[in-house]
Amino acid sequence: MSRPSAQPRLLHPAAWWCWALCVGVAASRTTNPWLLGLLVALLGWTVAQRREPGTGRILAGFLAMGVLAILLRLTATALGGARLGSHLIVELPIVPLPTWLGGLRLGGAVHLEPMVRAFYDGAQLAVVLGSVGAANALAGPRRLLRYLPATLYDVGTALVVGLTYAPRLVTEAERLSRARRLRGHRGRGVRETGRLVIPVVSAALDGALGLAASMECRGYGRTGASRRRQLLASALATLGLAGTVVGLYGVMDGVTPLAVGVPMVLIGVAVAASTLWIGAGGDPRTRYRRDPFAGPERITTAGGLLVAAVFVGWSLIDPAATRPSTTPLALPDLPLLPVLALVVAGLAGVLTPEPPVQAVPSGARSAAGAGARPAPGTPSPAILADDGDLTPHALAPALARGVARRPSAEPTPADQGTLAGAALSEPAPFESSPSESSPSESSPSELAPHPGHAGVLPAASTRGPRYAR
Amino acid sequence: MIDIADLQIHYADAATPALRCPRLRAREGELILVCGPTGSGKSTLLGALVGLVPHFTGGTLRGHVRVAGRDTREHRPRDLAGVVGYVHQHPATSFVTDHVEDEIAYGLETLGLAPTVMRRRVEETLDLMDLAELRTRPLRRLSGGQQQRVAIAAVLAGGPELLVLDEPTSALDPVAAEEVLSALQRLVHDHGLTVALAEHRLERVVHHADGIVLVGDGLASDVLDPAEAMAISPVYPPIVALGREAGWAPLPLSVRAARRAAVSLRGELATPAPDVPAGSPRRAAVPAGPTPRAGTDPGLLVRDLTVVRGGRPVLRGVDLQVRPGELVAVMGRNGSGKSSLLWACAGALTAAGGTITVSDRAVADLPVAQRVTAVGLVPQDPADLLYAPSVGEECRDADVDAGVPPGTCAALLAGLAGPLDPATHPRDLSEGQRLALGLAVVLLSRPAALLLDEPTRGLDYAAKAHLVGVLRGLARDGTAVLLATHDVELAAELATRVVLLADGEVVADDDGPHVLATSTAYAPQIARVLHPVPALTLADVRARRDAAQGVPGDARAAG
Repeated sequence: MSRPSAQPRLLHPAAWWCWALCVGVAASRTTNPWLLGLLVALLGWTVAQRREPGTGRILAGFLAMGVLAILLRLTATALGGARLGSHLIVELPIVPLPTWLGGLRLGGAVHLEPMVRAFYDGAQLAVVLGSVGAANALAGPRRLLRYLPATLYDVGTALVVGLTYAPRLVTEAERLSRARRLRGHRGRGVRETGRLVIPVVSAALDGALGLAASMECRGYGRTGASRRRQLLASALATLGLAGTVVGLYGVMDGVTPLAVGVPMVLIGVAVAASTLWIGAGGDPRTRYRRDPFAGPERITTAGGLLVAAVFVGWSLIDPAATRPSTTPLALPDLPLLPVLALVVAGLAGVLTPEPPVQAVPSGARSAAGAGARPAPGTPSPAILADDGDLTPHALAPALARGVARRPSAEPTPADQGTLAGAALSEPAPFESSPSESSPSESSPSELAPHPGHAGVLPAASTRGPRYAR
Repeated sequence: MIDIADLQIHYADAATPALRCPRLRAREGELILVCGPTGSGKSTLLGALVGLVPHFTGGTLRGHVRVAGRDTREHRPRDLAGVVGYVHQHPATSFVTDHVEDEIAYGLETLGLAPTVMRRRVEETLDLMDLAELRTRPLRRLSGGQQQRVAIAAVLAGGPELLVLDEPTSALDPVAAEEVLSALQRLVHDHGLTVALAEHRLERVVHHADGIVLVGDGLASDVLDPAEAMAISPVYPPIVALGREAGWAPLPLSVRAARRAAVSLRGELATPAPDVPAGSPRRAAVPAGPTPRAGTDPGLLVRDLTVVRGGRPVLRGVDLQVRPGELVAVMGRNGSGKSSLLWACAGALTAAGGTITVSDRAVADLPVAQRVTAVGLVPQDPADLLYAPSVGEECRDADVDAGVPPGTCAALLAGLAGPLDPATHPRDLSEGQRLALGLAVVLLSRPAALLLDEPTRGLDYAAKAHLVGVLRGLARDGTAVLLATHDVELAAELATRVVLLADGEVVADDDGPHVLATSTAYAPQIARVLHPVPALTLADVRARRDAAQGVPGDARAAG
């Protein structure tokens, strides 16, 4: 392993979330359209490079919501907030609203400057939404939930189950709507949906009960912590939260001196956080395959923090560039340092390992010999090629294929086993997995009369028994 | 390993116990089959072994259930998790995570094993259940058989001593079922695991069983010797029916043992009788088999059908015809396109190519309300068709939908399932009764073609026999019936023609007995026992024997 990013793996989810949320923080400090555009480009490019397989088009969805936010903002501004300015776009008729709504008036002149301002603000919101979407796309929330502290384990499990459940509800509803058409109804429309509510809910409840029974049988809910520890953790949590609330009130009301308010908040937060640590002790659960927090994760987190720090700092130093004003309507300029920070953050998409390619669904494989279901009692037909018996003559084509794949290897008799074994372990044509959903060759040989009873394929032992490993 | 003493389980406010078991003792390393008619208490017994009854389902438990030395009174299911594993009937509802590997690791995480131990166990379990290539696959993209294996693997990884399974092969085709059951048997023999499973399709399991528990009317027996249990059991597979008929003792339970016992029977049935042609023994058994109307009505006609789902063609150029009065069974492995074919014929799936007509009317062109008069489909889960909170209300709604006089549906239902209390909630009905209600609702519109998707899932032998009678009656009245099924015995009893689908294409479309008798995966038990005599069911055997010997009394000579 020469370079750490050689082997495809998924990063620790906290690293990607930190990076993406830092980009969001950076976006919330600026309304400069060039900077916002570059931020979106950064998000899009990184997601395209390092997206977790199987997450679908989450970023596009969030950006679509952002575009919707921009349009709503523009519409709202056009309807009443754009009356002052220098460049007139259009004059809308004035529609006075009833006095009990506050005496507002809709319509009037629509000027360019307020619209541009509204566009900047909307774009800022869109980029923040995009950063949340990018976080979801780079490290799915299910993976993140696995790293919750043990005290919050139950909450995390409930969230995970909920996330798995929502798509299931949708499929249930579709199934029932299809069945509705079998009774001669249309399956769509308001009344139909009303009729479907109860069956969908009861199907969901049945599913939930089944899931709960299964989790219970697998040990969910075993507590290792003693009663004393639990009481201590609960007491600390209550005290800590109470202290935080009091402290925040003190900070915000303006009467209490800050010297009292701020320490209360800090102490309250510290006490509340300590419950997480106390409650975690004594928990018997372990974690399977923790993701390491190694070099690539550090690079990613550092890049994100750098961007956030530079943008926050720049907005304090040079507010004119980060929040360009529109009253003299001019093209805003592009400050250099934030752009450099963006480029550094973009390195996270390059210096980190690629995500692993997800197992290709078998429908995409070619039919030629891939995933053919072996007939009971016979070894995989893909290996046996044409003959159908295991004499050395039949092995020759398989070995030849193995040889062709590795031209450097010499097919000595001692190596025959390993070669064929190597050929056997390759995914594409030699896979003898009995995957039912794969497009296997429609093999009439399975249905022909066959000596011996419709026997078994014991799991690991007939996987090329003659090909010694 | 299992020790039950004086068990009585009462649910909610019921007066009679749902299950009574005076004594049940099972040793380690046995495969125990729990069998009995539907609703007799098998699931309750299995739930009691795991502790779900009464901790999870509620109810009152009297007596003791001890599993691996632990009493379920003191131990909740989660405390028994390291020792007992439970696999539910529908594995898809019991998955907690999204991927195969995570699912297997989940149980280990809650047991608190060290990470290195967990890695090792997960790898070993993946190999054991032959899931190594599927390890990163999302669970919802697996087939039924693969999901079943993942569910078993997830429970096995924790190294339990007892594995409890509720109908593990109900969703599987015969070959996948055999794989799963053989893997279980190998675990029993090689690892000393104890397995307790409940199954309706006894023909798949009975030769693997080391002991049988009979459950009937809420009373469970002790673990009995399989042959003795089958001799007295009210539910029995065809091979046992043949054995009882021929008077073999001890009753052979596997095809191999039965073939040895059937040597003389084969000899006596092989002699061709003068007036019964060798190729068609079944026609003599079935009274005046369904005769299709003289070619005027083409019935359900499918031409060159292509259906694409999710970008993948699931049916390619399928041609099929079911004439009025024919009973056609479509068989094939999971994922070969049977359900898609039925849904496309019902007009619920748009076809990418080809035509489907019923009595020369194109199904896709008909408006939805009229489609039900041409073709009616009873889906895999008939509860999908039922929406009302009581049987009576469902019947009234169905009468209104179909535009028939009120009371027609109730009368039809009484004819199909016997008298039912109209205030019962459809979910409280047994599987067979729910199927009858779904069938009644679909038949109200008098469709010319009736399609059934896996009708015998969850049905016991008595309910199956009743369904066979109902479908034969419908065929006699001129309906074209098309069934998609994994149940080989049902196809043997019922089908005049069998169509085999593989990977979306028709592989065989021929006379039922011919296809079934010459197939390895789809041959019914009696056909395998009596091969090469072409008898598929017990009725065939009786007919051949009566025809060959002429005198019924001589039939007892078989040894």
